[in-house]
Amino acid sequence: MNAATAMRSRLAPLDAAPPRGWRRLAALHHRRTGARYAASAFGFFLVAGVLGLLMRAQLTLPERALLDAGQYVAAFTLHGTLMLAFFAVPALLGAAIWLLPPMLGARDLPLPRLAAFGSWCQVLGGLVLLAAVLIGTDASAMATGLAAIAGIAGAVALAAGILRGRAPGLKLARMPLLAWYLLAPLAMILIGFPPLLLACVLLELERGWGSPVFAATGGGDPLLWDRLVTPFGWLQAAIVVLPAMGLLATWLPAYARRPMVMPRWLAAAAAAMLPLAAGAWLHRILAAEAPALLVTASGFAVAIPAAIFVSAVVATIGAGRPRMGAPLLFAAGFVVVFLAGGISAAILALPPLAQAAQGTHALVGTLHLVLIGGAVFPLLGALHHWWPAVTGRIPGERSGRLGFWLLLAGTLLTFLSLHRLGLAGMPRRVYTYPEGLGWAAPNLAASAGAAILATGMAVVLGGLLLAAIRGPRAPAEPQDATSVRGGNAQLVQDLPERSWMPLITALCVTALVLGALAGSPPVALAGAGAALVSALVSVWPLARDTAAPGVTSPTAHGHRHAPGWTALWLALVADAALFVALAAALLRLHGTTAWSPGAEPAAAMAFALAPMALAVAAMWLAEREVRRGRRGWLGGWLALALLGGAAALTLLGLGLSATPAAMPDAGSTLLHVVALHQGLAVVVAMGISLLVLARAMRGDLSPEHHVPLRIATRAWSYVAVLWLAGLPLLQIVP
Amino acid sequence: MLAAGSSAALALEAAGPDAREKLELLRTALWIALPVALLATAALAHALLFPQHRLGPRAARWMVVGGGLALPGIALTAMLLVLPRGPLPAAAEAGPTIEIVARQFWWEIRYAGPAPGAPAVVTANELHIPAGVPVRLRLTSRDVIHGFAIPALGGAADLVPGRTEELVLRADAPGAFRAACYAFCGVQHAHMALPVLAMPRDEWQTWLRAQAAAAAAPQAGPALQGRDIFIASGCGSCHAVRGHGADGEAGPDLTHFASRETIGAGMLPNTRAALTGWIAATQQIKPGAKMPSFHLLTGPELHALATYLEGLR
Repeated sequence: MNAATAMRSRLAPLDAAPPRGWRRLAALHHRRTGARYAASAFGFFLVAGVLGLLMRAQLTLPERALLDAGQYVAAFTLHGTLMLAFFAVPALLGAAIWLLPPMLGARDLPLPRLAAFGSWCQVLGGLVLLAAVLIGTDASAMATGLAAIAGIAGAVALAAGILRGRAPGLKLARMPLLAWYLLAPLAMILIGFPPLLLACVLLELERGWGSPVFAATGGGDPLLWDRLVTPFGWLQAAIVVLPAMGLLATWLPAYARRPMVMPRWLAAAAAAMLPLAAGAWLHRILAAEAPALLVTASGFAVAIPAAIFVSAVVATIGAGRPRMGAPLLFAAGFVVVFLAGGISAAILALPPLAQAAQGTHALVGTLHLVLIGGAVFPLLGALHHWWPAVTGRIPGERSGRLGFWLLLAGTLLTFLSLHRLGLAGMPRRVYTYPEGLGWAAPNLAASAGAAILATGMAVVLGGLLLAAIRGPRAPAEPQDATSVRGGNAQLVQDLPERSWMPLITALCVTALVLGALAGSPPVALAGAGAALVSALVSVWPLARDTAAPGVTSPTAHGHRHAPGWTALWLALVADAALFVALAAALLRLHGTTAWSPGAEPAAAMAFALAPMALAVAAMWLAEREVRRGRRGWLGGWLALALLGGAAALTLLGLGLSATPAAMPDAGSTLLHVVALHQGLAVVVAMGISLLVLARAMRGDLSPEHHVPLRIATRAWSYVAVLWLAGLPLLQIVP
Repeated sequence: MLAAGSSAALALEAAGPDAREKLELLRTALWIALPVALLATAALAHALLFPQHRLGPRAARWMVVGGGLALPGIALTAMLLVLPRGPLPAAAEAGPTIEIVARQFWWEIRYAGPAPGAPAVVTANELHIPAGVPVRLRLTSRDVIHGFAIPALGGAADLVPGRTEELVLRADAPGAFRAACYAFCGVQHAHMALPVLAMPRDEWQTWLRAQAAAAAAPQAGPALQGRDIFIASGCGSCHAVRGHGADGEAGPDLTHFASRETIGAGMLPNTRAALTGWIAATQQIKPGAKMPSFHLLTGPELHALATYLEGLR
């Protein structure tokens, strides 16, 4: 086999023959991973939709007894958790993972195992949540934690793909709009999901393990939950709506028959959304301290980029030669419903009205208009547009149009009726209401609207499924597609085509979650350990990395733009966000409530700083060895770093071992969570060093190619900073 | 007058200055938003229905600038400008201060004693305020986060354990309103209403003096028997009946129970049938309430107990 044939076989389209049967579970190609995210998301969407219908059925008439109080509470908790954590975010992440690499001129995402791991966390998290409901317990906190992990993993993989997986010459400024409308929400996921994950873990510690954090009785702060989680709804709306706008901007040109107008403005609007939405989010977190007008104004600022996008959709249709059809109708539905939701959100953000709407059905109406208009309509249009590409068959036009009108009418009737109920003072999250308050008629209207909405959804999704089975076969390029195809990425990367490890790692993380839910420390610890080991195994170097023969592009391995290098920084940002939230929680608790934690972790960490410093120094010396082309001391330095980490962990473990399983008060709980986080960070850094040691033994590291070592050095340095930052935090205790 | 559910409590029918101001703001904001919605819908309808009238590139650009920057910029700024500034002008006449403690799933109400130095008057699940004067409500929670709002009067607050919120509200005229919990507080969040009764000031004074008195002594046989059942069943460990040796604090104060219109935090009318049913089957009527069902009491015992409670006027 000559070099050219070898290279052609290595650069042949991936996933030409998708794996069948059990092997599907091990598939890593971005289309498999994206489909796994999105298909499971739509499965959970159906369950959540049925729950929403049950709630509407219960509230149709006053004093109905279809659901009892406990069942209604379970239904609305599950409906919200499933819709936001297991449908909206993963459906959009999945669509983006499915679509984006070819649009960027890449054959796959650069970190396929990470994306696959995230998709499995999404699937398993949703299954854990539903299984827990069937056996009568509430696993929403831990399951949401799994969904947060899935979101972070998918976001890191996608962001690394956008930043490092583009074809040569495809500068950031010339990227397709979809990539722009993903970068901002991906960044929001990286800074917003880790605090959510933290809140979920803290809630489980309190509920399942009896260590108070939020309960006033244990010296906790009930407002802490409100601060960590409630403002997240703001960021969540942006995280969900922006990628959906990106999808819309991708398929709309095929139906308006002209490119989106003012693409640069649209890209700038997407980019501006990051600081604006993050600012509004922070203002909500600090709402009690910040002036009300500032909070309102920062929330209003988010409306400008959104309005620019909506106007551009209308202008694109107006300036094009629109081809009437289901997707164009869904674009129009996006404009109408999202605009209604946006106006409602702006009015209810005015402080006096926000105070009055607090806890009423008006908020439910606003939220649903924004999310259904902003995300569901663009997603349904996207399904119609890409259905031929996904299933090879053309969806029917009639079911799409009929379903659209039902959806539009049902959505407006349901959620405008909820606005009316909010004005009439009906609280949300009530399982029943008395007669004679004027609430019966709007409730009846809302329930009728929900039935119409559900019928419309059934018509649209049923039509798509029928088309997938019996629809006319699609020609190779049925739409006036605007996507980029083929091309070479900036870097040549030898990607694995299938691996069982992402699934196994996700199963181990699920075991950790189940152990935590069952209140069994051995199972949880075993799950955590197994997850770390399997993550290490999944990236263990089995063969020497070599470029394909005859390939002149730089290989990703060892290149300074290697995706792993980018992923490191993205992961550090996410971890730093978690640490900042943890530190803020600790400071808040310290400022407001009785505080009586023991000082064990603080002392242990102070002692452990010495071996930590040793480890970091050893890593930098190892890097210097490699840079200078020497190998002599490399193994020694790496071993020394591992020893230093082990010593630091031992000291930390000794400090923690004296403490009971359940913490007596909120201060101790948070202190131990800080210590655990620091310990976990050391374990991860040690794992990376072990990998580097393996590579060093294979002779993979050279002065030009030593990114794994650089990653390890930076990770160790970050951990050292984390410990230094954590120490004063623990010292403010008395 | 105050039977469960008879008091339509619409925020749309503002009955006090605070609620009126909010309603006014809502109307103004809707008028500001209306042209935005109309223009956007008209542009969309034009684009879809008259595809032959194509926008030129310049017109399309103006549409994005106008619809994306100018229109929302002007509308949102206008909304910020019409926001009311500062607190309501202080009323010359100061009304009473009333403390409200939210519990799972009922309300404890404490009034200052009618005479200076008199002990506070503790009642539950019914708020009486004098009409026409500003009333200062000091609110807190004893267990979890609750919310409090009287939509018809406008005030609203989140109640966090360990913190006290203040609301100053005024009812224009005597009337019945409905307050309720507006933050999900647990399984019976739906049944945490608080009937609010605004009454003329002198009537309110009379009412308060009556509430400050100790409970009426049971007169006839069944009532006396009922009191014995009340004590023997341990009701007094959770409920207080001032003057009858019962001083529990976990549940609503029952000293003047019979003067209230509803039971179970606005859930049922205060009638004999509802009362006996409530005592015998609390957990069936309001599952998750802190009171157990006293289903071991016989029918005659329940009626004796009810006779006793009905005497607590």
